[in-house]
Amino acid sequence: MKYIFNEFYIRHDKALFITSSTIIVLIIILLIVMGIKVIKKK
Amino acid sequence: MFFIIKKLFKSDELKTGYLYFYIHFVVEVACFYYLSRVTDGSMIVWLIPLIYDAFAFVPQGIFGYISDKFPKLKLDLIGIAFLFLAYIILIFTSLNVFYSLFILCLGNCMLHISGAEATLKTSNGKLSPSAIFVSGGSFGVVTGRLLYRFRLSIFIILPLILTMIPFALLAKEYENENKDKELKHNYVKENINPILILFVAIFIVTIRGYVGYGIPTSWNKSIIQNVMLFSFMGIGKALGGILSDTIGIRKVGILSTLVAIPFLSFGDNIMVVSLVGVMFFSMTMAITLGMLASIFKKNPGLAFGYTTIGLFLGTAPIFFIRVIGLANNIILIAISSIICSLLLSLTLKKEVK
Repeated sequence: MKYIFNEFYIRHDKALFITSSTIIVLIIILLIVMGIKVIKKK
Repeated sequence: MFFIIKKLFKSDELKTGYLYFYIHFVVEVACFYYLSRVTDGSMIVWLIPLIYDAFAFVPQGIFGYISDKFPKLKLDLIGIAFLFLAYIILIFTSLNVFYSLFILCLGNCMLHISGAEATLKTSNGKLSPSAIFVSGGSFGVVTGRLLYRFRLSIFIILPLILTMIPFALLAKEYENENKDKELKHNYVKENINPILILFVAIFIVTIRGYVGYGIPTSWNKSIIQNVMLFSFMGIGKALGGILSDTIGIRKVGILSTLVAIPFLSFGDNIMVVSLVGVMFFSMTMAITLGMLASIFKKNPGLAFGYTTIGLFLGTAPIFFIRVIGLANNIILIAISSIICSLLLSLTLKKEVK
């Protein structure tokens, strides 16, 4: 295994990374919940 | 074989597939020319592709849901306008690159979703149209990178983006003429909970996305070899759908994942062997879309969005952690392929052709 996270995280814009990650995680959770609701509706 | 080729060129259902093959090709040319340009010699070379992967893949489900709810919304034309705008901002302003990148990602999302909607709705329950649409992307990725590598002027990309307009309008016409009220895809076993199918499909795409980056390709050193690699990926994606319609999705799903293992494992230094493996490996894409279309019959856009979530979940870890070493990668490919093949055999219907 090659871990490249630390090297990546130190070099780059942490704020942008954290904001983007949070938005993406929230969208994924929202879509999964939406999908389950759509399936249950049928 | 001749019969299949003849059918491919005569089929009405495939018209939107061919139109969106071109649109998908141009979208990826525009996106990968952009990415190659903004990451060339840049200090933020890691962050840009990660942000691109996140915002070009994940929000597709949201746009899909919106498009399913409001079918008259012209996401295709709005998407083209967004791509054009991203280039205008990049060329003519000195704004931070992330503004244009974000707009580019949204345009990419919209065009993918309109392609998925058009090809699934007019497919009459087949997988070939969507598979042909999806395959266009692989050719676009490598073309976009090459155009930048050969330092083609950025101003060529602007009119290229506009050439998508007539294709999108024509595809919309076909979509309106042949639109099914509900998708006719019926590939998964009815006795399995659809929520489980949803997670299995996302899991398979995720695993395949991650493993795809670990495929040993030491032979891939020249431009021509790189073109060949992406071309075979594209051919594999298209063949996944075409063969599923011809010999059955279950057979193709299980066989393609298993047959790919020896070719990928022993093709590290032999291009032809590796390319055959890559082709088989890429066939799963259409199959997982078929699984999701079977459970989201009224929401084709949302169904497509889940495949791209899987792709993001599969590719994101590569930015942080990689399995290195030929033997480790071969073990990973073999184990993951067997798991995927098992899951496909448990969830896909037997009788569907």
